[in-house]
Amino acid sequence: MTLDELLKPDHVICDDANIMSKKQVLDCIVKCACEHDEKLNYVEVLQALIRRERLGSTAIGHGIAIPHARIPDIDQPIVCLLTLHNALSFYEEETVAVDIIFGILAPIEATDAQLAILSDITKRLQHKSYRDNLRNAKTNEALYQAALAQPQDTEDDQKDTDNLE
Amino acid sequence: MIKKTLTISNKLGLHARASMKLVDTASRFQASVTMHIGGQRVDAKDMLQTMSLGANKGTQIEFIVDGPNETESMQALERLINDKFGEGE
Repeated sequence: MTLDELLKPDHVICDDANIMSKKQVLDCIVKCACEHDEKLNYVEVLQALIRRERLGSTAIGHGIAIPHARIPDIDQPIVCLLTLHNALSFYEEETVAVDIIFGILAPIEATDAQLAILSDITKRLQHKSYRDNLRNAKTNEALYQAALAQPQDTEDDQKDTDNLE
Repeated sequence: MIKKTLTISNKLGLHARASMKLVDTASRFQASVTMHIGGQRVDAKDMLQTMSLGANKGTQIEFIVDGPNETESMQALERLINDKFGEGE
């Protein structure tokens, strides 16, 4: 399972200036998923994401968060991508604000598919150039293309890796 | 420097929350921790790198721990993995 297979053009929302809270982020992901699959129940999916957030932050550094949940009644993972105009804190104690969000909903039993999509997304996100391209995209179409482009190694990436200690 | 191969034994593998616990544990100690699978080598104190392994149940990972408190670091990592990240299955 790769991002190419799962991310759809209407699953990306670029540079959203109206989202000011984590609740709105989760709402946005759930709406995206419910439009993708009409069988999904808005409240149930939202509750699943909230339950997961209560277990611990899904912010993973570099301004990225990956809210996710396992839900029944879907055949394959659903991935949505949001970039925010105003970065926001996912948890009170977190000092680094989040502005790149990959929402992932996975079938309950699809353990390997969930690991594979997580692996593909995080491999891409290790590249500073990839994160910059997501942040610099100004339209949904540009964001979609940036998300699916294979990241290229740049000098900045090397510096970035060195700074990860 | 200590090397040890550990096997991921929890049902869900190195998913996001398990990865976070692993990174937290590795980061508690000054010693560096690298994980090797096949040709891949990642820093166990880095969340993105750790999750990028996509390691499922049964995956064997060689841990190389090097530096101050390396013994304690390796023990803590081994305990976490053998305890199935506290997930019970």
